[in-house]
Formats: sequence, C-alpha cells, structure tokens
Amino acid sequence: MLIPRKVKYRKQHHPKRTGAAKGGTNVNFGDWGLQALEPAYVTNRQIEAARIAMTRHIKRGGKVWITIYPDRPLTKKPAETRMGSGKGSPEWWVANVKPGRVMFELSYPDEKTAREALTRAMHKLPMKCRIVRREVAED
Amino acid sequence: MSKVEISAQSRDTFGKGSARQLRREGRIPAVIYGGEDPVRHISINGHDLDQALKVAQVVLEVDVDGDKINAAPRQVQRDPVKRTLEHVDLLVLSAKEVRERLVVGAAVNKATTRADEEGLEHVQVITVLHEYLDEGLEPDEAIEKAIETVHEQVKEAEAAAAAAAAAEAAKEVAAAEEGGDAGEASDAPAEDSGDDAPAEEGGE
Repeated sequence: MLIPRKVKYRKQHHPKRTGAAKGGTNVNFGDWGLQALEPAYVTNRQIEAARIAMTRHIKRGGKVWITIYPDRPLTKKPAETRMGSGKGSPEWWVANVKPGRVMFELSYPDEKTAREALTRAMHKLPMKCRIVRREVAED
Repeated sequence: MSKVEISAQSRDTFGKGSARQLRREGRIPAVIYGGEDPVRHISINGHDLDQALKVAQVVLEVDVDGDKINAAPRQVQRDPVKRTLEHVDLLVLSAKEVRERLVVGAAVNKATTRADEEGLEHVQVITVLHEYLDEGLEPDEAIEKAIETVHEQVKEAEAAAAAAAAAEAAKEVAAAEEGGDAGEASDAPAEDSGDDAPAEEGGE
C-alpha cells in the first residue's frame, strides 16, 4: 500500500477540493488512462484495490502506471469523545484528486480487455471517471 | 493539405474577464509571436480553430486585419474535463519551416491512412514515423519502416501476452494438481489460498 516514508508534519489541514487539475491531464505513459471527472480524496486502500482489480484482469502482458500518490494525511477523533483536547490522530492517507486528473494508465494490446480492466478499477474509486486514450500532441 | 486559412481579429483587452467574454461569444483568445514581428494578441473563431487543429502538422495561414501570417500551434490549452479550447499560442513560421512542416504533415496523413488499412494504432505509427523522420529518412521510406516496426511491436506484444496466458494456465493446472494431492493427503488448506489475502484487504 502506498504511504509516505517520512513526513515533515504529521497532521495537516484538509486539502482544498475546489478547481480542476492543473497538470497530469494527459495520458503520457500507457495507451489508456482513467480520468477523474469529479473532485475526491482517494485513499491508499482505494488505489491499491483499483490496481489489484486491473492487474488481476489483464493477468500478464500489460503494464499499469499509478499517476497519483496519497501524500496527504486525514485525521479523525475517536468516537464518543468530547470536543477539544487537540486534533485527532492520522487515520487515512489520501491523494487530493481534482477533475481532469489521469489517475491510472494502462498499456495492453487488446482494447476490449484494457477497457474492462479500467472499468473494474473505476468501480473501486470514489468518483465518476472516464476512460481516455493516448492522443497525438496538437502542436 | 495541412495548410488551413483562418481569419482572426486583433484584440486590445486582456485578462480573465475579457478572455471569458470572448469565449462566451465563441471566440478563443490567442497570441502570435516569433520572427521579427512584434507580438500580436488576437481572437479566433473557436469552431474553425478546433477543426484546424485536427489536421496533422497544420500550418495556419492567419489573416489578422488583412495581414497574412503563417503560423503553427505552439501550445494548445484545453479544459481538462470538457476538452474545449481555452487559449492557443501560435508561432510564426518562415517559408522554409512551412515547407518542412507541410512535408511532415503529408507524411503523417499518408501514414494514418496506411495505419487504418493495416489495422494499426494511429498514435503508435505516428510516434515511430516521427522518430524515423528525425533520423533523416525520406517520408515514403519512413512510412514503410514505421508500419513494419509497429507490426513487429504488435506481434511481440501479442506473443508476450500469449506466453503469459499459457504460463498462467500451466500454473493454474499445476496448482490444481497440487491442491488435489494435498487434499487427498491431508485436510490442510492449499498453499496458494493465501494469494487472495491482499485482494480482500485492498477491497475493503
């Protein structure tokens, strides 16, 4: 599971969820990509589940790239605790994904299998997504 | 042909307010620079520009208030979700650059047609074609070599996938046999049953 090895501060403010992706909006490594259409916090468990769903479907002969990283900690106070006494303890690691961001890329010779693999990954993620394919640069 | 005529209007208002106003009117803010001429801020009809950018290695003959300038798209900014145009940077081309770009554009168009005939991916063929053109090959020779190379790549990928599938099948058969033997010998669970543990963990 993806998790930062070392962080400067254990607890952070919640990441901003407004706006669209500023970069990482194109498919650069593989032939197919999974692009977010809504903002969401994607946890490291969800990323791992999506990766497993994809790799188990394509078996071998393809390659998967994960182009997001869960580097933001989210905290949670224990249940039935009175307010105050500081911020809760880190509970999840999330990637702050904004609309337009390509999260996974896939290279596989057969289009049907590649689409099915990405659809399975899509079902593990907390937002609406679409499958995009690599394009020739316009310039 | 990869040369497209397009008309533009010069603009003298800047910033996100006027840019949004232009986009609401169906026009795209753009800028032309390069060569010895000063930088020109223009706006172009969005639909015409979108159609022009679909042409491979396009050379835009931009008519700015009567002046005709040959330019190529240098940077195209699109909305990441809707894929609509937001802004375009155009680079002025010299006569030599126009000729070179038209040759490459014709080669890309020909390669795309060949890729369709052969049932190959456009992106893959064009990527390989550019590599051969950069090496200095003639366009026709580069197209033939690109098609050959992509055929080889596809064959290799299919062979690798087939070999992997065969290996997977053999592994499954071996695991089933082992599991059968183990089941007969004792009631202990099969060794490979632990493989599903990460999936369950990840799926929760």
